[in-house]
Parts: sequence; C-alpha cells; structure tokens
Amino acid sequence: MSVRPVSAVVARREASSDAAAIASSLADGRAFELVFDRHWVAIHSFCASRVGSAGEDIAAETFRVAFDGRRRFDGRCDDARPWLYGIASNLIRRHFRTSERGRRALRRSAPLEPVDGVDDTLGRLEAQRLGPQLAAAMRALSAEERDALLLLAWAGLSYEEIARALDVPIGTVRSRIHRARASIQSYVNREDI
Amino acid sequence: MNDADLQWVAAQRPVPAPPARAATARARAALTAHASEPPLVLLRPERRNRRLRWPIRVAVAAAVAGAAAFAATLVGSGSSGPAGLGVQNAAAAPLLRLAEHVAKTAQATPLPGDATLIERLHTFPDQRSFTGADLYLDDGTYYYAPTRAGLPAAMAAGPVSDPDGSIARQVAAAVAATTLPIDQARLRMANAAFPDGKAPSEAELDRQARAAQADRAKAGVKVDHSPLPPATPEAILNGEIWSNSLDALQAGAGKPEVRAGVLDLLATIPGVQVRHTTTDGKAALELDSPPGRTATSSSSSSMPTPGRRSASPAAIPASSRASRSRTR
Repeated sequence: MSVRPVSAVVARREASSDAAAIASSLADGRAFELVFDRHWVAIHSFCASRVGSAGEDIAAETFRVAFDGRRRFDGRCDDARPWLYGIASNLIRRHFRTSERGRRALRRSAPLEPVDGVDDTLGRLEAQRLGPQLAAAMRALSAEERDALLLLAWAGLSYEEIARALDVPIGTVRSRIHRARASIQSYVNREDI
Repeated sequence: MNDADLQWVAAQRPVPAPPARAATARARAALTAHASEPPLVLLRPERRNRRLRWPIRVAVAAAVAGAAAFAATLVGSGSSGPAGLGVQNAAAAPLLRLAEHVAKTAQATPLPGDATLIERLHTFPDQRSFTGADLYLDDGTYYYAPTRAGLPAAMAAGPVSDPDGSIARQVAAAVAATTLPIDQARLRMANAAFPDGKAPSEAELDRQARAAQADRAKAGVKVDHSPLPPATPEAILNGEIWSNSLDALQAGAGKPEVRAGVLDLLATIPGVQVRHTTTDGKAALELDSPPGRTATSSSSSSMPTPGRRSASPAAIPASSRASRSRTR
C-alpha cells in the first residue's frame, strides 16, 4: 500500500512542538494547521466565554492573524498559547469597541466620539457577557486590567505568559492584576459574596 | 491576598459548549485556505493515464425553505491548468453550513419519491454525442439504459450489479464522513473504489496503467503521450475523493446523510470554488473543481463519470450535462 500524505502529516504532528510547527509553516503554510488543531478548542472556548456566539468568528480570525504574524513568533517559546490568547484578546477588545461604537451611532442622542479614540470603559455588550456581578466588580477597571485578569482567571495563563500574550513587561502585568484583584476583592467583600 | 477572588471570577465564566464539528471544520478550512500557497511541483514526463484533465462543475441545489432538495450538474470546461494543490477554498464554509443543514433537517423532510433519475448528454469535440439514463433506487438498486424511454425494459431485465461493491463502499464512505474524523473520512472515501476499499501500491497502479495502455494500443486506439498535468500525492488523493464523492452522490442522493457526508468531503478539497446560483428556480451552490483537477479512473462504478476510461484528451467529452430528478 502506498504511503498516504495523511499518515505522513499525522506522524509529523505528533513529534512537533508549536515552535517547530510555526517554523515549518514559514516554508509550508499548512504546517500551521498543527497549531490550530492543538489550540482551537481552548481559544474557541475563551472567545465564546467572552463574546458569546461571535466567539467562533473571533477564534477563527485569531488563527488567521496568527498565521500572518507567524514570523514574529518568539521561537524560544515552545507553547503558542500565550501568543494566541494575546491575539484573541486584542480581537475581542476590537470587537467590543466596534460594537459599542455601532450601538452608540444608532442612538442619535449619543455624543460624538473620535473615530480612532480608544474607549476602554466597560460597554454594554461586554457587561452583558460578564454577567451583572462580574460586570459590577470590573466596572472601575481599565480594559487592559480586565484583559489581564481574565487571562489569569479564565485562560489559566501565568503572569509570564500574560506578559507574552499582551506584549508588556511582567511588572506591568503584576500591577494590572494587582489593581484588578483589589477591585474584585473590594466588591466581593462589599457585597458579602 | 488569597485566591478567593480569582476563584470567584473563574466561577463567573460562562462555560460555552465545545465547538461544533462543523464550526471547527469551517475555521480549519478558512485557515487552510489562507495558509495554502500553490506548491512547487516537479514535472514528470509521464503520468498514469488514470489522472485526467477534467475540471468538473457541480451545482448543488438546496431548497431555501429548509427542505433539502439536491441536484448535481456536471459540466466539463475542457480547460487545464497546473495540477497539485491550489488555494484551498475559502468558500468551504457554505458547503459545511449546507452539510450541517442537510444533516439536521433532511431526515424530517425527506425528498419525494424513492429513486433518483439522472439523464445525461455527453458531447465530444468531434460532434459525437451519447446519452445515458441512470436510475438509482434509494435501496441501492441501480438500472441503466441509453435513454429514459429504455428504462422500463432495463428494469424488466434486472438491475445492474455492483460486482466489486465499490458503489456500496462509496455510499458507506459518504455516510461515515458525517461522523468520522475528517482525515479518516477522506482516506476512506479516497480508497472506496479500490478493491476491498484498499489502495493498491504505486507499482501495482503503474502496472495496471501500462497494461491498459497496451490494451488500447492493441485495439488500435490512438494514445496521447503528451504529459498530463503533474500531480502531488495529495492532489491525487483529492482527485479520488472528488470522483468517488460524486459517485456516492449519484448513487445515494436519496439519503440525507450521504448528501451531508459528500458536502463535508468536498469542502476539504483545496481549490474548490463555491458560488451561489439558482437551478430550476431553487437556490443552489455551484462548485467548480480547481483548475487541472485530476479525476481518477479508479472507480468501477457503472456510472460513466466524465473523463473516465478515456484514452486521450480527444476522447474526453467537451461537455457532460446531467439533469437529476426524483421519481417513484
């Protein structure tokens, strides 16, 4: 029986790390499918938790953006998860901002906003997805603080991984999460949860 | 600070359902489409003549109202191009959505009738033409006559047999594609027309090709020795999946799980182009096989799929049109 390419692909996959697959994908784009197969479920789950039904499209877009940016992947890291979660977080943030602008644009009484302005307040859509309690607990946090906290509590990334995901120094991650946790702690204590 | 706050945040997380198989396939197909680039292929001076230049267009009609009508039209364009993996269809998503729809709703709204009638007209470049009428009963029985009018006599004479079981294997592979992991499903369909569903070795395929070539030479059939388009192993695999899937579709069109499985499989073939159109007033998806798609002659299906058993490009019909209808 002839050797079938499917078998060869399967064999290659089992032996390859994310970094190796991403390096291989520079020559053969389809090697990137390994990264998809390994992390699709986790990225999809995170995106769906954060944005609901739009999560599928955002998760798919995460892998497309990752593929386009694969030359910038730090090959010293075997695990592509932080990188993918970082891309997903950026796309989710963009989704919330776009949705919020669209919602306000539909209301004639809405104040005009600069098109390129960064609005990181907790919008209605994001608040809906967080649920009333978590939205209330996070209302005073910046978008960066919310993202860092959810990468820690929902995606299970370490501080180092969050730093890689968000491309900021680890000290910045520590301070963002410290502020976020203090706010949560304050809410939990106040509401006696 | 203890971790109670983090545990509380984690507990607030809405837990989504795992991604549906179709959603995963859609996302994977989109990524593959984005990631695929036409590969460099080595030209080989001679290819097995089972690989033929034969772009095929399939129109898949689905009733918009939710019922799953299904029709296929084959049209050979006669054009050729570089073989091998093209750009995988970014348009696979409509196929997968249709497959999902068929799988979900077709059982509840079965097609009318209990058989599928296909009337074909094949026209050759030298103006020759021939017709065929194929009647596939939903129970797997198959009748053939040169024209529709000849079918009653053909039915009285008895069904055409499926001596090596390849049609049954193709249909079973389509059904299995709705549940198997996609790589396994592709392999099963690719091999469905081979004896016992197992691919022969490359040496055996070459031996068969040489034997067939010798037979044709002995019979005085002019053999075109011009090199056929180069094909990567994966392009050959995709050609087998394409051809066998169409055979399965023809033989098993009455079964929604066959239609859904075929759509799942076609969506994995790189370069398939999907367009929205209408057929007989119904919304339809029109599928174009990629340029230079290689069809295989591995099937022993009695359905003369375009390009099969042809000795040279001159023997390939310029066009093959088929109309499909449900009947009783």
